[in-house]
Amino acid sequence: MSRLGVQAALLAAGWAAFFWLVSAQELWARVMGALFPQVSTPVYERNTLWELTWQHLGLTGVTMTLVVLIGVGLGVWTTRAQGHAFLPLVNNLTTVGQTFPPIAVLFLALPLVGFGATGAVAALTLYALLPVTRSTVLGLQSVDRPVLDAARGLGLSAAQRLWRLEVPVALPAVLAGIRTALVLTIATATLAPMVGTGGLGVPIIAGLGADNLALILQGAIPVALLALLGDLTMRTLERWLTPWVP
Amino acid sequence: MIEFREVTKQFAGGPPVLNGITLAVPDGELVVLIGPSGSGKSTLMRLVNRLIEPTSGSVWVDGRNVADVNVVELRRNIGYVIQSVGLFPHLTVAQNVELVPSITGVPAAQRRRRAEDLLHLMGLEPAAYAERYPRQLSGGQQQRVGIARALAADPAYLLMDEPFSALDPITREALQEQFLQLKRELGQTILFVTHDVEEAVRLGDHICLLGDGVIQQFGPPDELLHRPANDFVASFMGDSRELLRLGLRTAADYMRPPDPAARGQVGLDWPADRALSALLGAGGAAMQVVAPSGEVVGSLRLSDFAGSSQAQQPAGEPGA
Ligand SMILES: Nc1ncnc2c1ncn2[C@@H]1O[C@H](COP(=O)(O)OP(=O)(O)O)[C@@H](O)[C@H]1O
Ligand SMILES: [Mg+2]
Repeated sequence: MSRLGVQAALLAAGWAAFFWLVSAQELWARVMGALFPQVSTPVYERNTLWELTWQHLGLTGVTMTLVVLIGVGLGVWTTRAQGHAFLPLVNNLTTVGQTFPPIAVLFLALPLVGFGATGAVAALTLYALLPVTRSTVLGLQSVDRPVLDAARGLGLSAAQRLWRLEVPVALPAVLAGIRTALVLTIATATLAPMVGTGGLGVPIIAGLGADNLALILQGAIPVALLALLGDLTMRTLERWLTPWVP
Repeated sequence: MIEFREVTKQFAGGPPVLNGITLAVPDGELVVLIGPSGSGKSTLMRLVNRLIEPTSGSVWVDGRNVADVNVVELRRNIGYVIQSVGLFPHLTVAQNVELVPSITGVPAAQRRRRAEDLLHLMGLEPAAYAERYPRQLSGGQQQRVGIARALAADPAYLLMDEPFSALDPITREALQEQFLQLKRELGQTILFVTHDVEEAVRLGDHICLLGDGVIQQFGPPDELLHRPANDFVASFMGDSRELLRLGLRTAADYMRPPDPAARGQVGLDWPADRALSALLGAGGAAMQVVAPSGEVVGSLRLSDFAGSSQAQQPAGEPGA
């Protein structure tokens, strides 16, 4: 099997192990009960870990879809002649979006988009936009002048140059930006319960309030594993989609 | 035929780079544009495929004013090769060569066969190179792919902007040799930019020397070397221009009847500069001229080069 094949197989095994782990509610209760005999509720009880995990995946999935569409869109637009004037503005806005602490972005977005899942998704999207927009711009700008000149001289139209040259050449950078945004979103989504949404942040925040380390770990361990698996999945995808990268 | 009619080009805020250029590249010929750096060679070339538009005057290809031709259609009929090659880094060698045919919808099997033929012709065995990426090739190999890519759609015209200038001398000479052979087989009409006099003399059917925005001289290589139109041309073509001329001829052009006293041998088909070098090495004694069959057909001595160079014309340039 090729190196990529091995990587993909290991990854599939990793995801299977992860889903088994978050479905094993009984196991968590027993292990946490044994580790922390003094706490009365060793696992979060209003939702199963399985439910919390899927809420978290849902938040991340919707956010990342928006981040990729908007981020790549902005990156392409600001590197075309029509949108070039907006490049500095977009750069600044996305930077501001990210330099704010995530919690501040969450609360600042509240009056605009309201409490609940919409608010959380909007804030998370704003927060994760920077790496994708920035890497799309940098990726598109990294296309060598002579290659673009050759493409023009060989009779490729502007659209053909974009799709057959600029986008593929930018792809490694774009994918790396998406990977950064994904890990960021998985981690930051743990704050979503503060604006009234679910996810793996729910037991963490409950645990912090009740000084219950078992609850904190029940949220934190799956989030950490999710971030790790997300990162590895993107890396595998990158290797598969961009075989020309050394 | 490519024709420039009274072409002037002035970039915003600068002096005119080209000033009333009128020039024709006849069908099937290779015309070299040569001149100092910044003399407008690339600019003149890029007017042909409309990467640049003229300030005034017109450019004609195949009897049509390029300003009236759809720019994409125009470029597809004109192969384009540049010094930095510009291969697509994310495509394999074969995919790079197939680029234009894949856009114009040539069936996959057919364009693949064409790509393999062209790679073979350029001295890259498809079995070894077709699936490699550009970064896995040397500069010379990349330019071979660049030329194959330009030829893939079988264009009637080729524009080549210093295609061999970035290569080391040995690779450059090998590519020039291979390119000359290719040109004879394919018969494209070629406009070729270089700043290297030797390359211009070796490759050009005609040379156009640009300087100060105008054509300083247009003619066969021998004419620019032997009868420079002005001091600019004489100085640009260099002090060794009579030696360079020897490269246009062979030993056959200079030899006299066989001489029994001659010792050592030069080939009948050797370039004259190589024969001269052999004579100098032999200390000035006469040498035999030997046909490829091994038969002695004549003799050569140093004085033969001094006497006949005015009278004789290079092979294939009657009346030039
Ligand atoms: N796009 C451009 N804008 C402004 N000036 C240019 C442009 N392209 C070329 N020039 C100028 O035109 C002159 C001729 O350039 P070029 O045709 O590239 O010369 P060459 O190929 O003979 O070295 C140079 O002075 C160069 O600076
Ligand atoms: Mg140039």
